[in-house]
Amino acid sequence: MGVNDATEPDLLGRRAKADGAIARALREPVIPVLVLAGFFDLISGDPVVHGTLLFTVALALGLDAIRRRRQERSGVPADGSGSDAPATSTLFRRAVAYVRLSPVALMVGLSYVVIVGTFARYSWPVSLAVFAPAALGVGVAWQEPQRPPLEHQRIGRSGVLVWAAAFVSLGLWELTNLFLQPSLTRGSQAHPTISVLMNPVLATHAGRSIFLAAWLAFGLFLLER
Amino acid sequence: MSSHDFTIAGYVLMAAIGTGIQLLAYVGRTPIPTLGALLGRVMRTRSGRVGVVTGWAWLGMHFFVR
Repeated sequence: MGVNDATEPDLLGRRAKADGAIARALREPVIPVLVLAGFFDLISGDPVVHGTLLFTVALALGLDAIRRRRQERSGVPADGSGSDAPATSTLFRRAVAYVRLSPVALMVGLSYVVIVGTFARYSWPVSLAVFAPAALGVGVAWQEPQRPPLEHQRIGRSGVLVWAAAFVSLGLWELTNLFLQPSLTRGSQAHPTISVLMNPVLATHAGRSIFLAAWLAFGLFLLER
Repeated sequence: MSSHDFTIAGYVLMAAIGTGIQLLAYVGRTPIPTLGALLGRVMRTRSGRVGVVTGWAWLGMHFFVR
């Protein structure tokens, strides 16, 4: 049957499906954002592994969403209840709180940033040292069960829009400068992206160590949310 | 003003706007949440939590991993 042979109910069904997909993307824009970020990451000449991370997570989230929807249709709770996920989550939160407060953990963290800061950027030692906590963080985030928002966490649409506008503006400014470079893979001092501006900072041992300390601290902050 | 200065001014303006929004949120007389509260809310779903943490992971990889 050709496209022109589609009946009106067929067309209405397709339109409803497309509308549903758009509504879902607006409600949970994470997957399209990750795909877009992965696309621009690849065309800007970054190592393939960076874009691959973004695409892989987007794909995994997409498959997970499909699995959850099927489970919900068949009446099985899809929020991780019934598994040991909440207990794991509580245990992990305690571990993060311990890491934040423990002097030993603080010393380990300080040693990490000082030692890893001595390695040259994009060398194998620093790649492994940064990839390990990054992968661990994503894995831990994946393990946590779905949690309904608490009453005090309910946020109005206008508040979300204000922050969204700020982040989208920053993204567009960054993108504008990326496209104003001599080429997508060559940085420019006339139109520097944030990465180009960070190069002189990360060229020094102190700069790398401070950045790594802030990066790790922010990761812990996120995992405690 | 050179292109470089103009670009930097753009980033400084964005940073100032972000700081301003955060300060407004702290004052609490607006419906704007703090960035921490917004992240806390976003991260209550798996896609939000994994998405935000993936952004963090990508940031570290972007600057250090080959």
